[in-house]
Amino acid sequence: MTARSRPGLPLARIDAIDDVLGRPPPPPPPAPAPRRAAAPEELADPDQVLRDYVLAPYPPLGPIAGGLAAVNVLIESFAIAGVEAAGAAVLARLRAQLGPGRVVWGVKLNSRGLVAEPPSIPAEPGSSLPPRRETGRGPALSWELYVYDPGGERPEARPATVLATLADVIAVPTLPTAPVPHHMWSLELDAATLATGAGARLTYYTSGADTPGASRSYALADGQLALANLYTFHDPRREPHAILARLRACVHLAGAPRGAAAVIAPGLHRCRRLCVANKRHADGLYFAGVDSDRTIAFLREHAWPAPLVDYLAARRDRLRHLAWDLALDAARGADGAPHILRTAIHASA
Amino acid sequence: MPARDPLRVVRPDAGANPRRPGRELLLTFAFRCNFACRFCYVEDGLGGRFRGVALDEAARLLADPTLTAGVTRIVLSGGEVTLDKDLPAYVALARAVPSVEHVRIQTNASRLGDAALVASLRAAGVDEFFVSLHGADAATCDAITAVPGSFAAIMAGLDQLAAAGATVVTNTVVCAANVASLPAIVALAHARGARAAELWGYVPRVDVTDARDQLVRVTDAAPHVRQAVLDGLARGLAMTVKYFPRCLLGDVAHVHSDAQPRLVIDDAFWQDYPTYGCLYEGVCAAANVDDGCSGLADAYVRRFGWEEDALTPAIEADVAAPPPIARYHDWDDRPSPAAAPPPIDLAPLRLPIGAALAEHRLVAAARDGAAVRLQFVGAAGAVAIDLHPRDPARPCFARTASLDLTHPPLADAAVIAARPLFAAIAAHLAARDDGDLAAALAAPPTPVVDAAPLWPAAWPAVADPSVAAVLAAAAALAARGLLDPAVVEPSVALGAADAPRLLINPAVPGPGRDRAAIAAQLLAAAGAPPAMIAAAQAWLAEPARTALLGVAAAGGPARSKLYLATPRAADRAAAAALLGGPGPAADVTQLAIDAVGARVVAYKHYAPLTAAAARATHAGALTALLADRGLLLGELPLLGCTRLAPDGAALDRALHVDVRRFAQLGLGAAWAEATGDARAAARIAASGRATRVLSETLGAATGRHVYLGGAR
Repeated sequence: MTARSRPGLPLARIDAIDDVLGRPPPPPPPAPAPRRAAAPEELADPDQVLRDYVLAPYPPLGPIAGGLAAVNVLIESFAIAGVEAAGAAVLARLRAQLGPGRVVWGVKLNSRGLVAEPPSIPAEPGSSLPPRRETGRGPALSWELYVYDPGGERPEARPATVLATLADVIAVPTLPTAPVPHHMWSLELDAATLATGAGARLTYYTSGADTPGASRSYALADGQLALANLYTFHDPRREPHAILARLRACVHLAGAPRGAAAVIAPGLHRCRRLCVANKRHADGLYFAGVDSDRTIAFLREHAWPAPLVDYLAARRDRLRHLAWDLALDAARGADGAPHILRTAIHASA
Repeated sequence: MPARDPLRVVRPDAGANPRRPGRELLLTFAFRCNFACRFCYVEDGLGGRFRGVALDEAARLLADPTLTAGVTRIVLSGGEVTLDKDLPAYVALARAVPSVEHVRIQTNASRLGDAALVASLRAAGVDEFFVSLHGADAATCDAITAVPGSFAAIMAGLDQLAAAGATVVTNTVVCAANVASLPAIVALAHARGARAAELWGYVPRVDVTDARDQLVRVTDAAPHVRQAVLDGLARGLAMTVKYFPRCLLGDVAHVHSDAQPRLVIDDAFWQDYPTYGCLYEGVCAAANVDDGCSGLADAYVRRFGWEEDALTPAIEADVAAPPPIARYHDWDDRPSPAAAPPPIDLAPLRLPIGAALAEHRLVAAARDGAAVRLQFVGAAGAVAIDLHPRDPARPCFARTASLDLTHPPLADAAVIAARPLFAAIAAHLAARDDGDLAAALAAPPTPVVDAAPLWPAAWPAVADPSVAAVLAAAAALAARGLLDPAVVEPSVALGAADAPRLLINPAVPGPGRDRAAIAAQLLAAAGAPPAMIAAAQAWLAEPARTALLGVAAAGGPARSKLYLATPRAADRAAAAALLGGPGPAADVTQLAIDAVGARVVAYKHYAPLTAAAARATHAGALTALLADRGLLLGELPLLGCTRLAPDGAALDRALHVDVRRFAQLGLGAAWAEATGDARAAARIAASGRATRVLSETLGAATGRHVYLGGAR
């Protein structure tokens, strides 16, 4: 026996029975939902390798011809947040610098920041200042752009080189003077970064040669590097016990009344790769290789902005060739159960 | 394991679903019902949303032999099909299918208390009645059906069917309202004349959140389901459990099967069909067979979770042990695992891995030549039983219609201990063997040693005599099982029309294979120099060493080539001593010698290249092509080749790129097009072979190649 995923369809279907019976085709799908983005949609390139969020290549899940590139979702998210021009400019610089298919992007939704406007915090008594907005609770969407250089062989992918190309678009962080070992690094952006030039945050990622499958991230802040996250990567088909053991050892994920189902929704257990992450204030899961239907369901379930979900849903037939990478962060609530703090969608551009 | 042997009472004529997908066809129409069962999705999930198969459509469908070939049972289902005035006409259409032996209707039986109706249906050709029975008493049943008096009507229907001698199989949906009374329901089914009973977990179609509150926790239901099965078996009923985790059924797990007939229904039906899964499905033997365990419905998982502490994957030992944690970035090139042997289809036996039989459990099945060996573990220890296709001359302890049963030599005491198992499996198989048993368990065909074309069928025949001679020699070796057709690989020299080339791996070990002799035979056919042949023989005399042979038309005497893999320093030294020529550098992992006729014209030294080195020192049209396709050079295995004249002078350098992992991109044809050789591109595309390697000689308009895989 070899490990494989099952289709989950107990009934044996006969395909295209409508054709067999000569029935008329179903009505055409409704017109696509309107877009927010001003840029034209980017078509999928059949000659390009499709890559997931660790730049691992994957075969298309469906026909590419006539399909859309994954990056349209990123652009749409910029537009929905009102920062399309700035976001697209950063992306364009990165793509020009790194080449096609080499930029990994993630859009994140802070579950606690769903309000349209950040809540007001009254000014100090006696102050003449207006109320300020609470930080960290909005806007809901943020982004992370990842640059891979696993072999250290790509000078064009080094942080200093890449950041130099972005310096006139966003405020880039100051790098440590000595090189920092890494196989990947990322820039974390939010609407303020893109709209006002506030500083982007840089994180280094190392793949632990000493611990196969483990990776760590170190966030750069005020010139200092601080350990941020620890990641382990698993094949969910072959390693269910290892995954469950990891979940049971995560203080934020263990102890849910529904067990693993609290964070592994049906269908996500069939992802191509599952990553468990330990973070400073949460534990997280990353699901690589999720098809578009399941991705849309995930985004709906986690209350992503309707325009973005509708964008995907209305174009699902043109996105079927893509596999997405989904993520969630959860923290233990007062009831002991994990509560979802943040969700994310990743792909490459 | 209880003392009773559940298998002794299973009757093949009892009407349970055959677990052979393709033999049973389910035709749906009449999506209306006179009951309103709380768990049922027919009226709100089907009726109004999907069209049933109209009578004229059914006529066309059932007259189509491509859909009905081999179908032995047609099931007519709705809704309540007895409410449809056209039911007799559907039955007649089903009966007209030549291969059909049984026509079954799914019914709640509430109208079958009418003797005339039963008689007319039987006269029309219905011989099996699949009766829904969801309660053992009126209160429970009527509450589920939401129709007062439904229980009494069902009982009247069952009594009438029994009186008519009809085959009755009951169907019970396991739900919150009846789970505790499952044994009583099975007892009632038996008392009313049923021959078989099926227990189905609730299928939450159109109820993705279980708003109907029909799901029952499987850990709570399992004791009742198991007891009902045991009681049914004890009463002589054929029992089947569906859509319930097999691993929770314990010693009655063998009655579990999620196999279903092929369903004829609108294509749109499948768009929101409930999906099932299990966290352990990738490592569970029960999940990886055709009639295997589907796991839990998504709606169940959302409500109760994955039940990861209660479910236990079956027999994981035969899953190759994975690394404890998957490597990060394991997209670095790694050799493909060896192809797994084809699985043995145990479905015809109704004896899945994990099944219990006479206090033994089936733990493994493996092919041994034409036989299938079943490995049991139990009261008699480890017991192997071999199933052979029938041979009247074979000594055996039992025969069925299509099988001989034997066991390896055993001590007398062991035979006595295993005798109950021998008897049980003989009875079990005899009851299911209709003379086919999936062609005696699909005995392996005689190795197809000459069927696979070594040369792509779409290509022109090889005209070059040397290449043709090598092909003939390879075919002869393949016919004797000494060479796998997959290792005979054609390649294309771009810009060189009609220059056939082959690359052959003679070094794959196997029964009766003398690798050195195989290599010598092929090189001799290529017209290789005697020294090259001798070198190949000497090299392959060492079992750990591997080599490749090449032959290429050259418009005169053919080119012959010998490649020796030299991953270690000792290999390099040995290869250099054998081949002669310039000494290899320390990073050389493959040495080759190239001859035209009897004359050595070049030596080749291959060494791995980093991506940076390839970009810096081997930049050319090939690297441009790969960059244009978005291929990160660091993830492709790269080899640099330096070609040297016999006097050591460097002739040229080439880049070889292994692109097997990017088969979907059609890079072979793309490379041909990039070099302007449209004819080669078309030929590559027509070959049906996967591209393995692209190569380019730097600074030359020739020396560009596409290496393809062998026949599979």
